[in-house]
Amino acid sequence: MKQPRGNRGGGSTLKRLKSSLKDAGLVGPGLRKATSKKSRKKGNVSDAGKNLSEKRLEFIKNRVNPFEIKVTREKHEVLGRKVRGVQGRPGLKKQIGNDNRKKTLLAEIETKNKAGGVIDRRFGESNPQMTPEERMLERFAKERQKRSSSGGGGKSTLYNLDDDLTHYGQSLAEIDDFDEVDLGLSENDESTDNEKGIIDSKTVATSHFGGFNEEDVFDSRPPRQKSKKEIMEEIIGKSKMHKYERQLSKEDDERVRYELDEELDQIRDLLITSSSDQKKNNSSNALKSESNKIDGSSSKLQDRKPQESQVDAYDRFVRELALEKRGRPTDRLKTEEEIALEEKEKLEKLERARKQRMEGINSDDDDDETDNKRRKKQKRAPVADDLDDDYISDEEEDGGFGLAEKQPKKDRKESKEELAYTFPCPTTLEQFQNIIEDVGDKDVSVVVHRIYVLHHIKLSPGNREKLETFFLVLLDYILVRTLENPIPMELLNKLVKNVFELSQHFSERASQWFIQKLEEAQKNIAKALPNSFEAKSLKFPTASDLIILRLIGQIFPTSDFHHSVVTPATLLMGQYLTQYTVRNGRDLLVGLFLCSLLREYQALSKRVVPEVLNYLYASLIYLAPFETFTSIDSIPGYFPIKEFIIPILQIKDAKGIEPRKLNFSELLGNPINKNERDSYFENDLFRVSALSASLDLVLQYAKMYNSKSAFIELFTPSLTILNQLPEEKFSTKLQTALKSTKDTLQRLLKFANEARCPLELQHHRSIPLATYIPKFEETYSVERKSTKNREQAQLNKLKAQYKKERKGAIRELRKDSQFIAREKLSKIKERDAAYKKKIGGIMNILETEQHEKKSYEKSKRKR
Amino acid sequence: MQIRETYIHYVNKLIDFLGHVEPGLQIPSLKILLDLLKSESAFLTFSAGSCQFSNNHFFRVVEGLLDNENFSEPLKNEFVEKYWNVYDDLRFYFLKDAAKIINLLLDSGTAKDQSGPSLKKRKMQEKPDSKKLNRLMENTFSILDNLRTMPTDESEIDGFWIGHPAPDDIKLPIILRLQEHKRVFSECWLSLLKLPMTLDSYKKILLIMHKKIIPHMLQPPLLMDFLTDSYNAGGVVSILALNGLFTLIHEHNLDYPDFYKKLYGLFDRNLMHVKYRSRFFRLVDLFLASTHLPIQLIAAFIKRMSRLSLTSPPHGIVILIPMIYNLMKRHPGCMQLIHRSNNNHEIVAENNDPYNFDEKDPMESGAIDSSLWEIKTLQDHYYPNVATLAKIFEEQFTKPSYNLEDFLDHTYTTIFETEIKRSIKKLNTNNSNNRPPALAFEKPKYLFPSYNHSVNNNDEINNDDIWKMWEF
Repeated sequence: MKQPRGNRGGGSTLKRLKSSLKDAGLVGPGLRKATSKKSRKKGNVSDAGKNLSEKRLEFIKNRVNPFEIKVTREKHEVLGRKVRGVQGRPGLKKQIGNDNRKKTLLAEIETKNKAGGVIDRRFGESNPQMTPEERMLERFAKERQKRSSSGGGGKSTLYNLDDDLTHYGQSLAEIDDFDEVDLGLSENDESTDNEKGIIDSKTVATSHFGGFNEEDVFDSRPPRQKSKKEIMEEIIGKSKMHKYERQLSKEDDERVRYELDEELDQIRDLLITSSSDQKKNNSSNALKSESNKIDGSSSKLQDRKPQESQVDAYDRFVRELALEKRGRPTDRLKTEEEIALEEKEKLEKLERARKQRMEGINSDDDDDETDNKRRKKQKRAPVADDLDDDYISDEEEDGGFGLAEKQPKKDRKESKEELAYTFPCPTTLEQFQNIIEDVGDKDVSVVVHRIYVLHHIKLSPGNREKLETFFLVLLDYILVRTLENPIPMELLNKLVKNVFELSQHFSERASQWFIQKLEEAQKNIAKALPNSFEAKSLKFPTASDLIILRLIGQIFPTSDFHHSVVTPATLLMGQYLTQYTVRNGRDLLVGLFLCSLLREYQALSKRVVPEVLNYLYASLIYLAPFETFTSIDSIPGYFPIKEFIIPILQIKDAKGIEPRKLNFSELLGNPINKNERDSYFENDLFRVSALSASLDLVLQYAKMYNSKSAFIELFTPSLTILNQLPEEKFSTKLQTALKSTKDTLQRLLKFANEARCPLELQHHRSIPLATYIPKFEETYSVERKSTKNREQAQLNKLKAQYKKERKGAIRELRKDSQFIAREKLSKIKERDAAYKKKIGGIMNILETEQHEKKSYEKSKRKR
Repeated sequence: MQIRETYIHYVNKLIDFLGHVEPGLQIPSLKILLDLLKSESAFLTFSAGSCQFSNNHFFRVVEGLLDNENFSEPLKNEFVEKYWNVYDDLRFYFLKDAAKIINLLLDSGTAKDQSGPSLKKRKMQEKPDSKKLNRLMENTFSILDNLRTMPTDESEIDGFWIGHPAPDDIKLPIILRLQEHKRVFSECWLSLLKLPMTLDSYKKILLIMHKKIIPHMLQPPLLMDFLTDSYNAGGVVSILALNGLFTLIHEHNLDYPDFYKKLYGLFDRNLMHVKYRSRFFRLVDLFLASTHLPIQLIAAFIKRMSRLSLTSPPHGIVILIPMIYNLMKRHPGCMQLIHRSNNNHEIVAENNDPYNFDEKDPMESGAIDSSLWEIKTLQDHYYPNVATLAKIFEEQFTKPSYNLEDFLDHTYTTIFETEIKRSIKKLNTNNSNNRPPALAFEKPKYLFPSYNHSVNNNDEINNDDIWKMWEF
């Protein structure tokens, strides 16, 4: 298929090129005719013709090759719609990309791992648009401009003299400009950089290679022309002023130096601490004596001597100062390990001393004591955040470690009162009991603390286990001691601190132990409950149970919403209060104790414990004097009650009996003598005391639940019960207590009544009915993407943008890596080719030589 | 004659042995007696020509069993497991004879049953002392309580001790008729219920009433008096009677006036603490299920429940809260109990709480104008699950309803055990995000404050106040 104008037609590329050249009239028969033979011979083609042909060639070159165009066919053609990217020239794009990479990426690769280099800052060097001729022209012009304007450089307009100034008959303009460039720089710079022979960076930037490029050079406008005379006057005046100033400052400096010299002694005193005072004196004495000697030996030099000695002393001080120890950083805070170690060592040392004293060896005592003192000095004062030390340090003072130091040294026999300082870590209760066999109750806590310190967790990895066992032993020990009567409260009060301390390290073990104890107690209840008809199988919690519950309250936080130990413990107490039927005074008392305990548990969180109030009201009813309540229906309130009269608890005749405090260990501890105890419970003194305690508890709870919405419901029954109690049957003290309780309750109830308003718990938006109508958009258009939510739309836009950019970046990176690979390959190929060529050449030479040799030998043989 | 007398003597001896202290003697005697019964009946059948049961003999055996001071567990088990629950004829005659024995004793000589065996006459002379009555009651009940097979269809009557009676052409023999079985069963129970009983067995009877007694009665409404009396008794008994009563109302058309009023009355102070509360609440759920009940009534119930929840143990609260929720869900009119907007605020503020807890009639209690402050307070309950549960009333009522069964059967023990399990599990799993149990950070000064402490520390008045009534 042939087309008249090959532009769009088929045929090979060559054919098309030819035809297009022909069309343009660049080749073909007509061309020769156009120019004269003569002129062609001279090689002198007319400018116009040359330009024309070049333009044409350019045009042909730029004309799009139809094979390079890639068209995506549209499936549906829509009139008036422009779709981007239908036509494209992938080849061109690729080429452009490749070129760009060559310019940037390739350059980067080539300079990779290369430090330094020369940056070409000459004018127009990096501008590919310029031809070399243009470049040279421009540079020349710039240089001329610069030279004309920079008689003295930008800032130093003062020295910008006219061109016709001469120096030694030579025009100033002809003197090398570079000598003068620096004039504008400040003195300081000169002194630092120029002295070392380094050209400062500014000079480099302004006047070296590409420096002419800088804008500011041309910015500076030529200053107003001054007359020569003026200028000279100015210069002279200025130089004079400078000179004067210099003199002044020098004088100043001198003065200051003199002053300093005068004060040197004082300053030195300040610098050097008192410890070195002596040294100073010594040295100055030495100096004096030295100078005296010199005095003695040569009196001629008397005038010079003081000066000399002064200099000498000064040098000495300088040396001294240099050798002086620098101010050291203060001691860092000790880590826990170090503190533990120190404590341990201390105890061990004390123990050694004690043993020695026991054996009558007295020699080391002094040493030890000084040692101790030093140690004490080093030991820092207790800080707020070290948990272990604060209270023990107190104890050290009065009972513990201080004791040993206060011991008179003459005491050679071991007295029972002095405690040992080191103990093995007991693993069983028996061992522990053996250890503390000889120790009085008041020192057990100290012993425990010493064991704890000696086997501190941080001291050795095995200690953790040891202490863990010891911890359990300690807990068991406490339980054992609670079985005694009377309960050794002093001891327990101290031990609880130890337990607390240890439990800080073994929180998990501690909770396990307590959970186990709780479980046992609960099992006891569960066992007792099915045959609850048998009164004997029911056992109200013992003193140890109560103490465990109390310990829980002290070791664990009771205000947590849920706690793995406290929650079960509270439940257990609730069960005790609800499910045990009170039969005698002791039962009642245990219940009251539990109420107190729960009050403390809830002191912070103020949670409601219905069981407690039920119990308290029931106990009020049980304790009410004879015939206060006649039938079960006459009992106010809605708390559960099974029997309303327990004869053993009813107050018989309370007149004149004052309530007393309830004694814990006496009443709840393990009974020694049953009869005695029964007699204690079965009298009115006890009942009155219990009644007074219940009143107090009711009041406490009322105050705690003050803000609860159902305060009225919770406490109205109590008021009704109290109102029914016959006041006249009680002693005056109890009467006042009763009265004040009633008053407070009444007041609180009144406030609660006033403050209360109906509940409004459901402040929610009403839930709309489910609708089944499809969702229509009134102003829907295909063009707009949903513009309902402006923010959402923006977000979507941003997302799309991000996605696009990301894709683009990935594509670019991929292309980059392809490009790099290509470049590498081509380099390898190049190298290989070069190598091959080289080897080929060598082989060629060798072969030729071999050939020559052979042919020579052959001819020789022939001959 | 000699032989006959010896035989009678022998039988008497055996019956005496039934009351022996040693179960090792009782059981063989029972076995021999029943074997003798078999042969006697066989003889009678042979001589009469039709199937006969030697009831004279069996009556004595039954008497021996019931009027027994040493009615031991093995004997009971032997009789119940091997004979009574297996053979329909033995059960039939036992029920018949037991009813007769009780009635005779109760009548104590007045209305004489002529058709009865001659031997009873001797017994009738004795005065029915309470001890004997009690014994009779206990023994009979312990056997009846163990009833496991009772025919519900005539074809089920197929186990016979003395041999299968041949059905007559004209009519079925008495033993094969289901009606007759039911009749003797009813008679026996009715007469048993006439006996004085202990509270324990009373409860037990009421417990099995709806499942084991009513279905087998010929005329269940006959139990109405008994149940109504029980229902009116109050306390646990009422709660238990409710179930039987409900069966009568529901299945036998019993009309019971003021039922809801009585039901309301059952919500008393001890309700949440009795053992049978789960059973009771299952029924209450059923009774209050109707959406046609007036709102005042429902509100009264809700308010009463919430009031009781203030004195209940955690497992009781856990029943009440879902129950109230379900009721509110079913009767949206009651929502004003937990949400009342400000415009009718003054009404409540003036007369305080319009609800009257002591009012017997739920319709008059004024609950609908009250508010559930108690529930609000329970949001601060010490048991975290209860507190969380109580908070549902502050959320939107989107939950369909709670399944009550999940909440009914908790006790302190179960709650405690779940808590313990949870704690132990938490301790044992060595998860990195599992923190060890929290500890108090404040070091205790003492286990219990003593005199000195409380005097010294003025800053801690608050905590020491708690212990001021104690001396350590």
